[in-house]
Parts: sequence; structure tokens; C-alpha cells
Amino acid sequence: MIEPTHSRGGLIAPAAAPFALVAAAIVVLRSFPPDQFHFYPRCPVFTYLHLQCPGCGTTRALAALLQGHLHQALQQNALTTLLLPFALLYAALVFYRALRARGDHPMRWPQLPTPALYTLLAITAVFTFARNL
Amino acid sequence: MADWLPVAQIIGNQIPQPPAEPYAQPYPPASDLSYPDPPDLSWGLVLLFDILTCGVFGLVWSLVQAAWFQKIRPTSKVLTFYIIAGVLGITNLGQTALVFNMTFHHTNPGHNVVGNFIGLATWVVSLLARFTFRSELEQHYNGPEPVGLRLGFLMTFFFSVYYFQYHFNRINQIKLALRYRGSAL
Repeated sequence: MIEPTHSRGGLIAPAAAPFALVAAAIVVLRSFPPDQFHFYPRCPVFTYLHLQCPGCGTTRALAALLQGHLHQALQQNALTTLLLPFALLYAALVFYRALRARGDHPMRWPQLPTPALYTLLAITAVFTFARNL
Repeated sequence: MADWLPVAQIIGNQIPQPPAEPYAQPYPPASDLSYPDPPDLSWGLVLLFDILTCGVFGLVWSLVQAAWFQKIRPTSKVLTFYIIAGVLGITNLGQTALVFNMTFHHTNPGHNVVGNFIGLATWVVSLLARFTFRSELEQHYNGPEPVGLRLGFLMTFFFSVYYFQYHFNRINQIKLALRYRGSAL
């Protein structure tokens, strides 16, 4: 029986795409810092309601982290800065599972324990409330 | 006064028959598990990512959900509706940003008729998409894959992406349990 073969390009392209996207984002953030260039999209919540959503300041926090300014990143958005290592871990796990997925074994997203999920949502709600006081 | 009669004279000499087959729970046949599983990212994470990305992730995830449903039902119009709603939404965002910039720089933008019209169209198409999706999901999960799915009107109206995802998580658990049962028997 002949096994289906995949071309090398067909395997490498999906694996390389996330790295290319991340590299492009890093180059843009380092070359055009958000506090000096204003082409970055504005948060619609802040624009219309003048309230800071939990994601407000994430782009500036990432740019600050890329410059090595952890304190500044925490000031811009403490939640996303502190969650970043966990987000990277989760993204790496998703990437690994996506690479291993096949037609008969589709990718399954990593599951978070329910208490952890509810805690995360509660922390986000408290953070949003606190930063708008 | 009526005389008492033996039962045999009333109903005849019928020998009670044993039940033909033991009672069996009507489980769905194994072929029903052949449909692709729904996207299985936890609904809570969908909500969290959506909040942190100001709604962008929700838009992308609704497209993922609709694309999966397109595989199950190739005639479905849900994906088309979501794509139209997404394009209109992005166009509307551009219009709104333009008006905001003009207002910010003290330039009178005038009455934004086009922006309002696109906003209204986005809202209508988005509602059409989510209620079509709801109806087709109920048809599928009470027909070819009978899990008894019922979707509420208000939850669909306000929280369609997370609400559908919550049910997809539940359906995935049911399908996983059925697979284990199938492999155990």
C-alpha cells in the first residue's frame, strides 16, 4: 500500500508561519514604538467609553518589554505582562499539537482546568475594575 | 347477578409470550460519530481572548466555527453571512476611525450617513448569521447527530460566539464519551 507523502514545503510552511508572524510583529514594534508612531489601532472601548479595557496598553507593554523595560511594561498593562509567560507556554503547546495533528487525529486545543479558567476571568474582571477607579 | 367465570374462558387459552428482545437503549449508531468534531477551545478562553483583543478574536473565532460547520453542511450559508458581516464591520470601523480623527482634529465630519448605514447593515447581517447558525445547529444536532441541542434566543442574541462554544465543548464531551463506549463494547 502506498503511503500518502507530503512535500517538504507543505510541511515547513505551516510550521514556519507563526515564527514569521511573531518575527514581523517584533520588527514592527521595535522599529515603530507605539508611543512615537500613531498608526496602531486604537481600542474602541477607550475611544467611545473612555474606559480602559483589560487589553488597553498591551501593544505599548509589549514594545516596552522588547526594549527590556519591565517596569514600564507593568505600568502599561500589568495583566498582560504577567500573563505573557503563560500565554507563550500555551501558544507553544498549541503549536506542538497543531504540528502533530493529522487528518484522522485533528488538533485538540489544550484544556485549562475549570477553576483556573474561572479564576482567570475573575482576575481580569477585578483588574478592569481596579484600573478604572 | 353475574356468575363468576374462569379467566381461560374469557381470554382463551393464550400462552403468554416472552418478550421478543430485551430492552435496549436507542444509542445513536456509530456512523454518527464520523462528522468532524466542533472546535474545542474552552468557551472561557474564547471570552478571555476576545476581551483582551477588543473583539477581534471573537470575530475570527466565529469564522472558525462557521468554517467547521461548512464541512458538516456544505450547503450552509452561515460562513458567507459571517464573512459579509466581518467585511462590513471592518469597513465600518474604518469609517468610524476617520470620523473620530476628524472630530479629534476639530474638522467637522458632517453627518456620517454612510457610516450609520454600514453600521446598521453590519448589525443586521450579523444577527442573520447567528440566528441562521442557531437554526442549522439545532437541525443538525437533533437530526444526523442526535444530542438534543436546544439554543436559547436571548443567549444567541447577546453572546452567540461564547454560547455556541459552550455547547460545542459539551457536544465534544458527549462524542468523546460515545467513542469510549464504542471502543469498550
